[in-house]
Amino acid sequence: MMFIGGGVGGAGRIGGGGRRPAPGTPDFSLSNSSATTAWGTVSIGDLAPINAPAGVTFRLVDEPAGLAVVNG
Amino acid sequence: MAIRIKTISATDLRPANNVTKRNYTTAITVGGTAGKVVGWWQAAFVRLPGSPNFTSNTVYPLWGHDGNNAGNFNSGQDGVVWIGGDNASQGALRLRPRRTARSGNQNGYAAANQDFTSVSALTANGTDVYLLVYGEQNTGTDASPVWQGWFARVLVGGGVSSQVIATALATAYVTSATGVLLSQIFNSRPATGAARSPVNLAFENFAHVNGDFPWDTANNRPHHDALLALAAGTGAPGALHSYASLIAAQNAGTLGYANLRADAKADLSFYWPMSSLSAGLANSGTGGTNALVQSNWNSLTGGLEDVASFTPAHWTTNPTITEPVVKFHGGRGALPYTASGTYQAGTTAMQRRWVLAGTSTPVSGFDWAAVGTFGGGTWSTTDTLPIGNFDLQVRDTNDVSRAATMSDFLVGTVVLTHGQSGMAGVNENANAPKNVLNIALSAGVQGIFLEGSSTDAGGGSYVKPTPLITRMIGGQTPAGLTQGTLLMMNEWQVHNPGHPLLIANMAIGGTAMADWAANATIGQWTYLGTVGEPGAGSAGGVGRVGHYAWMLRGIADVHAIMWTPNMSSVQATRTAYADAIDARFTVTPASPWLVLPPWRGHRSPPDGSSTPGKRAEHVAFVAERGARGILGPYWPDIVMDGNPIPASTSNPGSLHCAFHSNATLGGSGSSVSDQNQVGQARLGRGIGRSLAWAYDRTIKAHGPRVVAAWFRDGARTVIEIELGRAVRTLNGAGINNQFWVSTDDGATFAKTGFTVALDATATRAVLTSTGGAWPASNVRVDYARAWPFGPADGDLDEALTERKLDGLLYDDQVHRGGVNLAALPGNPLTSANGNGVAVAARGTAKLLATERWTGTRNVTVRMIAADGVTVLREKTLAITGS
Repeated sequence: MMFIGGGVGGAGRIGGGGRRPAPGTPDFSLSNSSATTAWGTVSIGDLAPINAPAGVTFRLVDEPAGLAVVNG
Repeated sequence: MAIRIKTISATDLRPANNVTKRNYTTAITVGGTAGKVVGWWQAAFVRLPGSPNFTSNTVYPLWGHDGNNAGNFNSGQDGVVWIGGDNASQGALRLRPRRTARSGNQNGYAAANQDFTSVSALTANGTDVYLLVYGEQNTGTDASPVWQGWFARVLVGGGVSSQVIATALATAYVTSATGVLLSQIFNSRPATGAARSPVNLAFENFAHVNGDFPWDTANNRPHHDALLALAAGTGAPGALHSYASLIAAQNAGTLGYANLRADAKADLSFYWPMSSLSAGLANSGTGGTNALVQSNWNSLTGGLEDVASFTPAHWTTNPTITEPVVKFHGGRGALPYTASGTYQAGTTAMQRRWVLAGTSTPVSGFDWAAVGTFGGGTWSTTDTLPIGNFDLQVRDTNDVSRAATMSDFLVGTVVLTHGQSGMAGVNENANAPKNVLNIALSAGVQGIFLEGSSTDAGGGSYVKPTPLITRMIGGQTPAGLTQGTLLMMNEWQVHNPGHPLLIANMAIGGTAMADWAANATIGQWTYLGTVGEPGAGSAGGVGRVGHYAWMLRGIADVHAIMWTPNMSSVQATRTAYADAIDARFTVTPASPWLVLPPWRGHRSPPDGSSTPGKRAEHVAFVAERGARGILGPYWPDIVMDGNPIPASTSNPGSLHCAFHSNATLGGSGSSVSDQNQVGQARLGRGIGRSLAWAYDRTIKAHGPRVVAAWFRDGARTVIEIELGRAVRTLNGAGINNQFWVSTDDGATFAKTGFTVALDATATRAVLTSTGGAWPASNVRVDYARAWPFGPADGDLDEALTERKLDGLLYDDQVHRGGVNLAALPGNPLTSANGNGVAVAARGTAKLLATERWTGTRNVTVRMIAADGVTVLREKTLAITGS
């Protein structure tokens, strides 16, 4: 089961993510989980904070080849 | 060649396995037909020695079997062909044949020996050559066989004579299967005696045939037309023949002779060309492995010796293969290659096969098969070979000894270079001294360097341009090629091991694209011209490009172009140039263009070569090629500077980016330059790697990419740039800034007024203004916009300048060159005007795919608090690419 863009306190869970946080716990969602890739840059989806304070940023862990976050 | 007796009583030739007699009444399959009741025949071309070697009052055994090993050939299993000595005492047998025919102690004829005294006498003079043929065969039918023995001799180029013994062979002999028909050629075993093979007795082309000779039913004799065809005798009708082609035509029913017994069939079971003591001793017939071996009986040396061939020309003339100008076929294993050649009279069919070079291992799918076209004295074969190194073999289908080979043919990738000295200097032969770095080609390298001998067809007076071809093989250290070429080849080899590459250097120093596109005159010909080979006295309309298209048979798999400073600024001219190339390389009209930006051939500002405008022309050239355009790398390792400009300055540079003009090596450049490595060699390496990358984009790109840029916040004092991968400097050096910022929408750029740092993940560059806020609009960023270093910056010694390169940004690749900037979205070179990437207001955070990949992968994303440290949430997400 997959939710995309869950509401406040919702799942916002994509793929094999961690456990669903308790209501009010900072979380984020990804609006889409697939893309037709190319040798250029292709947007996969938006990263949206949930229950998060202002000024949060996003980073990828371990520099996965072929993926990047912008505006995060 | 042929083989003769050099020393008597020394050496003879013996098949590894005796050729034994059959019960000839037993039907067998022969000539592809079952139920045949047949005999056999043997033949050889023989030259008898002159006086005094053949004049004894004796009969000389030529070949056969001596069961007693005593040299007297009188055992109960012996089969022997003799010739009476050139001595009056021989009477009717003088210089005529005798046959001993025994099997199971049964005589084939009325006595142990049968003399053929009706055959015209031979001549023993060391000059005349005869085809001698002896046979015992069925002259009746399969159902009612009649067994007769016969002998024939044909003077090569002369007349024929034969005799058939009218009385049928004895039945007990015919049915016996213990006799031996051949165990030796020559008779050298006896240490003494008159019957030993004399000095200068010579043989060539020996055959043992299982089956019946073409038979003349009207004259009841071996067909003289067939005999004449073998020996090119006087009045030989129709096609001349070898044993194999005669038998093939006989079995096929195509001989066409008058009064020919229609159902006679045969197999060429054993055929030894006896070309020399080192060739033609293996059995080329259908009877299996059975090579002739030299047998030395009396511990004497020098028993046999090679002599010039004496069979008719149609026996010794092989088919030919017309070799191409360049034995390299582009197309990367996907384009057909047509080979052709000639064949000689008597050949009725031909076969070809491709083998791995230097072996007899057929290429899968390309073993012996009929050639594609055959007729009128020429043949051709068209094959789409895989990538590799091969030999082409062709042969007469019916006489496999008539064969030819073209060796060392390569199939792979052809890269054609375009531009002026920055490109030409990497490879060109004129760039002497060469390979001063003593570069060795890596193991496994297979390639060719190709160049026309003259760029201007002689300049002041015409000199025909010719191909200069240098083969490149792994392990070699060629002194005749530049280190640029050799390193380019080695870099290609890293990513395409064993894949042959042909580097064709077409670029000409000091020339402008506009002149090429206009087909202007250069020296004694033109830049483009027609496709063909230049004439002996004039180019005849052929031009530089046309010459290359001719040499490469219209194939250029990839065009590599670096053209500074004279790349055209006019789109129509650029298009005309590319179209003119395609119009001549007609086999590959859709080949990619790998475009290398001009900073690779660096000169310091204000030289035009170093400007963004020159870069923009190259980028535009890429864009104009559409899907065929590939933008080559940003490669910051070139510290060699093309200054001096002008030459009267302090001369800090090394004169030319692609030359090795070090003053200590005879050039006129800087004495502190290490340009041999930094200039030409680095260019060669970079081009080679770029070329490999163009075909295999799994090679990871290097260095940072400007994926996107945005203001961190509304204050606009910080610009964040996503680089697409973690980067670092080398050797702990501080960042040597190569980021540039424009505040007028790309009209001008500067790399001052801000500091540069990497964020904690090293995947993002952070530019922090040292002044006020940047404007809200018209701000753009670029990377490596112009060369940051060089002698003009104060480092005269380029080897020291190189240390500044440690401060550039690299990813974790060992190789410090880079292939980075495809002409695709997300790169600073993607815009046609080379104006970098716009800095936007920070928008919604997005996850991007930055390169081509497929499948599902898990990516871990962290949401970090504004303090930049606290991880508020971390999740692993499954992302699917297609």
